[in-house]
Amino acid sequence: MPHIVKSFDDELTRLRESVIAMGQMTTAQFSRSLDCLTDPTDEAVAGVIALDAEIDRLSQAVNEQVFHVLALRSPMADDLRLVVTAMHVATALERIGGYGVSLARNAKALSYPPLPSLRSVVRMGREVTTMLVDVLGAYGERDAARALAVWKADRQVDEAYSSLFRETITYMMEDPQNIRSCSHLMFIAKDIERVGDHATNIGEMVYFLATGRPLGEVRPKGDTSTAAGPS
Amino acid sequence: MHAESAVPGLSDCARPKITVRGVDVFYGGKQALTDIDLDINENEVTALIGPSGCGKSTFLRCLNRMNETIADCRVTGRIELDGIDVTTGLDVVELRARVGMVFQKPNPFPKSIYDNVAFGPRILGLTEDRHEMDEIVVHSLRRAGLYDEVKDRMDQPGTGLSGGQQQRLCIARAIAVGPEVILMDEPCSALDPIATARIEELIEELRSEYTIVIVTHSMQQAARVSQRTAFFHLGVLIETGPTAAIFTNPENPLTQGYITGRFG
Ligand SMILES: Nc1ncnc2c1ncn2[C@@H]1O[C@H](COP(=O)(O)OP(=O)(O)OP(=O)(O)O)[C@@H](O)[C@H]1O
Ligand SMILES: [Mg+2]
Repeated sequence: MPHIVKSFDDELTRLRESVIAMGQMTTAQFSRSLDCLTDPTDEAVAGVIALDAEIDRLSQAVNEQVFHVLALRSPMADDLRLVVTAMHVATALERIGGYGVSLARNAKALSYPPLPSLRSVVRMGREVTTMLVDVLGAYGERDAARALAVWKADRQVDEAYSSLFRETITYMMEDPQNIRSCSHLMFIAKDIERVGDHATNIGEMVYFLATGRPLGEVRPKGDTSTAAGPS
Repeated sequence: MHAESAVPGLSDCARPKITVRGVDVFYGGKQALTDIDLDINENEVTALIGPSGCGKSTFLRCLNRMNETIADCRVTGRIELDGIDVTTGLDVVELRARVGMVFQKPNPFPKSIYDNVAFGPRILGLTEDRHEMDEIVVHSLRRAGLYDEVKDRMDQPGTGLSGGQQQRLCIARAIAVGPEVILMDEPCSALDPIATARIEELIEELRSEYTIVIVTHSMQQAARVSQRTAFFHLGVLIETGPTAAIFTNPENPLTQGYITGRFG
């Protein structure tokens, strides 16, 4: 049902659209940062960094809109959830943009020819990209079930990260020459895993937005690497 | 479930001060309230919200039998104060001493500030002693947060005060007879934001000693001052629950539509 005050509706629609636009840009940037892993040209890395600046700008715009609506409209119930969620999602997306930059920069430090594990890292990255696409779709549609599915999918990413960790340790033990490159690969994998966590957080917010109930409980954590090494 | 846990400790220890069961109200042949069930908890502020004409004032007036003063008005069902039927178990003077009321427009009597507050205690014969009466007046004005502003002009007319001061005077007048419940019908609608904030602060303070029911058209005010909110629509109680739950995640689409400003 529309609001009696039409301009309020327009503002909420604009806010939603800003978040969705920001989400699309962040997904694109993350995907391009993964491309850098296999082809880290200066140009590609610079492209990722430029997109990050754009994401920050959009985040700023979302925050301004949030403050505007909070101050002038005093939103309630689902409107309030929409506004507060917008701010949280924007913050999560901004973080993801930061990880994209870090990933692209680290890509330049990878050895050539690449370690076999790079393939697993890229695969993990693509999985996280899918999570991002799904969770932003869920945001657009206020789809609690789809948000929940993303939330659950994070477990696979955490597991992939753990197995990758064991794999690279093996390479490092085989030949100390690999240590530098393996470390960079692990930094990259960690960044990807963190992006997955942020996608999961967005999933939680979408769930709250759609249902009014917090997703509750601790997130399913499949990451067992912490016990064996750095987290 | 989760709605209850949103205010830990609040709903579990709360004791109903007033219970309302199956109440219908008619003005002549026209039904204004239909089958209302509601518990009003002790030492809580309960906010009544809903569109104009939904029956909030009518409901409030049931609680101290003010509807009896309206010709043609008929109330059926059961309303209990501390388990005692307010119609059959209490005489109306005693009921109104225990359940005080503050109205939308401040309505001080055309008397001095002192006499406005002393009026109720005198009528009820609470004291004959001038000194004791002074104490009641000063205490009530203090509780209403007005004493410092009027202590040097107690003999001047109450009508000479500002709107916000007059409203606090009316609250002092209600407090003076030592009520247990205070009913407020849009007490801030004629006040500026500062005067409103003072009344709201006062409500929060009074809550520890009294049970308060407030009708308000401001969703923000309901959210700020109350622990429980009840939403009325066309004479029906649609939804009631902890205020935080009502304003973040109402269950009924009508409630949602009303509080978000979407009624078409
Ligand atoms: N004295 C009366 N005689 C006849 N009908 C009345 C009387 N008082 C109220 N009503 C009717 O009862 C219904 C409920 O009125 P009430 O004053 O309780 O509404 P309300 O929720 O307090 O509205 P508002 O927010 O405008 O103060 C309305 O339809 C009103 O017209
Ligand atoms: Mg009214």
